[in-house]
Amino acid sequence: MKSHDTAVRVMLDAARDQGAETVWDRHAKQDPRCGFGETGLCCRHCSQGPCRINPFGEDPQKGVCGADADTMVARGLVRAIAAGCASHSGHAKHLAHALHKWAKGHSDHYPVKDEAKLKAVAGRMGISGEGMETRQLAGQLADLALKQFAEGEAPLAWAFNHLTAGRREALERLGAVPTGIENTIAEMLHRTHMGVDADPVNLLIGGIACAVADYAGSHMATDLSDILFGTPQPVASRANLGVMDAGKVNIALHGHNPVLSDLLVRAALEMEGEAGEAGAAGINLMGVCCTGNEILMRHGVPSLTHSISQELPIFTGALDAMVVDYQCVYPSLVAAASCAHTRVITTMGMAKISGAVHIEFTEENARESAQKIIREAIGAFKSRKGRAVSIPEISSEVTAGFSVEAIVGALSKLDPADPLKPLIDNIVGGNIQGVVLVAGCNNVKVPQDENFLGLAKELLARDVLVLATGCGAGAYARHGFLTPGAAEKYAGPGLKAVLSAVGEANGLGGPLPPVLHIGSCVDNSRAVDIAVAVANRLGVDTDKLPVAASAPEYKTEKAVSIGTYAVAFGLPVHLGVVPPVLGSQTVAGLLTAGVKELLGGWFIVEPDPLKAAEAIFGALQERRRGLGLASRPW
Amino acid sequence: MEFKEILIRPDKCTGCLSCRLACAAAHSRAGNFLGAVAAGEKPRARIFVHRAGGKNLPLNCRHCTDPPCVDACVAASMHTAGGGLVTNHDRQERCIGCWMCVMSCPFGAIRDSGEEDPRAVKCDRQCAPGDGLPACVRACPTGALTYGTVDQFSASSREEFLRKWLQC
Amino acid sequence: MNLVIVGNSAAGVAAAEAARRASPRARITVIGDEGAQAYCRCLIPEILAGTADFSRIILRSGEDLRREGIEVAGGRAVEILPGPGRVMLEDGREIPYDRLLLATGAAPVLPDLPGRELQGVMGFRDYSDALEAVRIAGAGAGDAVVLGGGLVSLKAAHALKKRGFARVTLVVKSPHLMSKQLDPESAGLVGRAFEGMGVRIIFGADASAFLPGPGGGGVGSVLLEDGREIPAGLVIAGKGVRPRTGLAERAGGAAGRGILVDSCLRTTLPGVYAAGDCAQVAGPGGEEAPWGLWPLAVEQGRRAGLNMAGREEPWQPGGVAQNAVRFGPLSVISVGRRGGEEVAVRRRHPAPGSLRKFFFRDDRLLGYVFVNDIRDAGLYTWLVRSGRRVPGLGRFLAGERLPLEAMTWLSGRDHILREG
Repeated sequence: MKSHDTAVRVMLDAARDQGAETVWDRHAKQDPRCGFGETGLCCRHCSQGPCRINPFGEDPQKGVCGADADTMVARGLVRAIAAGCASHSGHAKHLAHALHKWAKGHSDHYPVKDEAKLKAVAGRMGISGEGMETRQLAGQLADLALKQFAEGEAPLAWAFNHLTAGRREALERLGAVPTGIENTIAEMLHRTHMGVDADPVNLLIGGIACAVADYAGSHMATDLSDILFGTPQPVASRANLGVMDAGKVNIALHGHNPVLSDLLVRAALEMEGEAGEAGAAGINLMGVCCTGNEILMRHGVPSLTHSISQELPIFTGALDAMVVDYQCVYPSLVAAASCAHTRVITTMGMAKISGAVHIEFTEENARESAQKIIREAIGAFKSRKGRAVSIPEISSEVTAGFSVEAIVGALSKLDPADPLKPLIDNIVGGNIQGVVLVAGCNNVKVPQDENFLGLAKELLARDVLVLATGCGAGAYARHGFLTPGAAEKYAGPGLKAVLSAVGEANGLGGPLPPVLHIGSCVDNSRAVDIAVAVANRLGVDTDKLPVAASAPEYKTEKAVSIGTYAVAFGLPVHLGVVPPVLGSQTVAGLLTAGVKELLGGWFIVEPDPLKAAEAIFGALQERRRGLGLASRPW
Repeated sequence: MEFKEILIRPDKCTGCLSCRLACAAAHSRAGNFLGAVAAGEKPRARIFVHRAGGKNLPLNCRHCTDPPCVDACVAASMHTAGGGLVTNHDRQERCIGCWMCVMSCPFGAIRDSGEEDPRAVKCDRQCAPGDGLPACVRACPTGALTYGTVDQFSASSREEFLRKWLQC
Repeated sequence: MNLVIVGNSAAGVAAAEAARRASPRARITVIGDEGAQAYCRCLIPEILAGTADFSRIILRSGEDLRREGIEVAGGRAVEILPGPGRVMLEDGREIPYDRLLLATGAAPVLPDLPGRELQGVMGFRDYSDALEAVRIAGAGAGDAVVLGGGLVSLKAAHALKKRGFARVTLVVKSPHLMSKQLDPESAGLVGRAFEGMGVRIIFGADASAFLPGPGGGGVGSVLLEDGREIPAGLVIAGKGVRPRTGLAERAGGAAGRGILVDSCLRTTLPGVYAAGDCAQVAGPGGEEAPWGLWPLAVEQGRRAGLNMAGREEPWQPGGVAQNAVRFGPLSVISVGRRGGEEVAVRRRHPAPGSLRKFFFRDDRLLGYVFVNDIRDAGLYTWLVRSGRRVPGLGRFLAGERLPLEAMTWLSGRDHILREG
């Protein structure tokens, strides 16, 4: 079984018939995996290596420099966190530049769309904004945002201003306090250079600081995206390969940053006519991965597919362009498109793929570039005429758009004066046993979506509310979990009652979906915001809440970083794929047990989704008992 | 059926040592690599990769026709089992870990199990699942290790070789 | 064809099985004076230590050999008549043969000292010796003296400690242990390990008499030449063995230290072969034999068996001394001889006190001694056995890394494929 997604399986047959290679083929060719790499026991940090350590206790037991397994594994892990942090914060910085350029008049393309959010964020960041013009306030916030990247003198505000007081103290006690994003990343690269930090515990504390910096970047990305492109509100759409339309110009937007995708949504509206002249019934934009989440959340643009199945839309023969920015974009797209008419269009100077069409997209030339990109796609559509296409008629209904503001808005229909009260009451009363954020990617080592589906079914049936982001949200979208009907089908009685009550109060004529799509991978910050709000409302720290996180099919370094900040904020965090740390019992022990003493959160590593659900449920119940709430057996 | 051997193409060996990990893991209680590492097991690899003259040379038991290790075994533990397999895995309880076989193997392919009461361990082919491919061969990413029968010419040259060194 | 083998141990069993493979129709009879079950002689320390029972040290049971079509006759051969081809047994039976193999082994030498007849003064060679030592231990003896610092003595001392003797004393004439196999430094490591096990070692001393204990009959102490008296309810003498050559010599066969044989393991008696610890191969390289080495006995036995069955295949003398042994956590391998230049590699890892010493001359490896770190020993054994010249050997040995040519040569050829 390669995928639980029927549309994906149909397209895998098509790929096989076309003799095309997919991620699954390459995965098979990568076997056997190198055991040293798999356990984190290969170090390439200097040219005396590569050095390996035998995990079975035989020689060699130390690298050339003398680094032992603990040092090697810890160094590898914190470098991954630094890379994850660099990715999310690079994404945030891009948004900060867009806002900054608009505020300073260097670009017209990024006006503030959500003034209320601008004021709210500015307020949280200590800018009063009283009597300020929008552009002036935006300028001040953008300046502040850009300053977050440099080394400061105080704890990194974009992270620390969004945490409970208890959390801030816990991090300070541990010495895991970043003062700027990029200096923290640079320090991790420095510390993991040959002959610098060799103490595994010290390295892990550095890694936690870097993950906190990642959280700052992620939060900033969410905040600035909402300011620039609007804060998501519930929206209906569809997901899966069946959203393609043979008669239209099919454009997949893939990658992460709405700086690109939101502009393409705008440009597509303007260019319907041009598409019509080319004989198309219109322009059909669709999203892939987190870009898909961004434009689904804000514009209801349907999601095409996610993560490991990103190559497959090309084999329908109906995809005219795949427009990408960065992160999680497989270079294989170009090879996949080589036998089709599909144009793979890269847009970022720092993320090119040889063989792709590159149309440089900057904040200044955004509109022109967007038009050029769509024109390229229309051209491809024209060249498609007469060719056979085969689109699997499979897609699911989706309700997405659950930003914190949207959730609070929906809850306020139950209690306008104290919107969090209904949520807290239901957690206390047991209708909601806890909340689990399910995030992360697909990983080719796991049959696609298997862990997402297995985990959600088990947790929902036990009255656990599921929030989803990233490709996890994508999986739930494609499998019909983001619908009112899914509440009827999967939610336990307590959860169903709550979802129905909220749905009715909001005039939806049915319950809320049991899995709430809260956004892209940077939007994990939205989940932390909810947890922090609930914790503050209850007067406890986040490490006391019946809240957990899971990345059951994760693959990226970003996910490692997210998981680490979730642990730092006191959450039990499940990983469904074994991270490369088994080579050090010290490091593995710290991550799965030792860190709990220090920060309250810890990693649960469990590849089996049913056992994972049981472990997560157990962790929620432990928290409930800690709060004096009634607990339930598995 | 002719006894199959692990055939070695040294030029293809990159020295990644994957064969060693796979061999050790296949001989662990967990039976798989990550399980064995996670459980802190210390199973021993029975294949060796020598680095000599700038080249890599994987070596393991050749399952000799007149095995010096069997001659040397003072405990009647090492023996030639059916099909030509030279092994002591089915007579482990007899092994006293005296290292006579270790001393006698011209390939250096026998070693100590590393346990508190150590025994001699070697390639015993107790690593092959249904498809019959030894773990080291399955693990080799470059095809430096393959599994098959030595052709007639080679078989006779081996016999000659072994006779020569047995008598030297 | 009627093949008879006197001796049911390493050489005898190997000969019987080789003869059976070579000649499916021959009648093969093995005569053993220790019963029908061939056992692993080297494992009698396990019996003494209490870590194994007889069933675990069986080499071939009578049933095993019968399954291979080999008859086993318990009994002691007292005379051979090469003329008619008969073996006379102590119980009067006569066994006819066409070809006969003498694989009679060797007997321990007890020092010719006063009191040697006392109960509890014994060699350590046979299963019955181990049983006797166990019996004495069971009778409450707490003191044991072991004479000699060679392998048999050390194995006995180690087993005696495991058996529970409170005080075990090694009386060693040489200045260090295993003087035949080890250099003083390696022997020092072995000595310290034994002292760590609680074995007392007296160097440069020898026994002068065995004195009876208070109960009479049994030995009570050992008197040393220097006048010291050491209590001992049990005395094991590891002072060498003597090849059992009597059967051959009484029939008129030639013997030196052992029964003289040619390269086909033939004695000077027609139709009579000898192999194993009782035999001495004449000619170059044979003068040092008999070796008293199990693998050598197996090789000789197999070759003799093949030759008796009609395959004239000479056995090349010129083997090298080789011993591997483990005493608890202490492992020792010694191969070849010392001399020439020396390279030593001393490490704290992988085992504490590990030492690897190589002896070489003119780029040829003469011998080596490994203490505790036994990795790749066999590669070096074969380098010694072959006498092959490896240019720059000393440098390679210091790095413990052989050149590729030596490696590929050592590892054979056929399974190593070369890309065209």
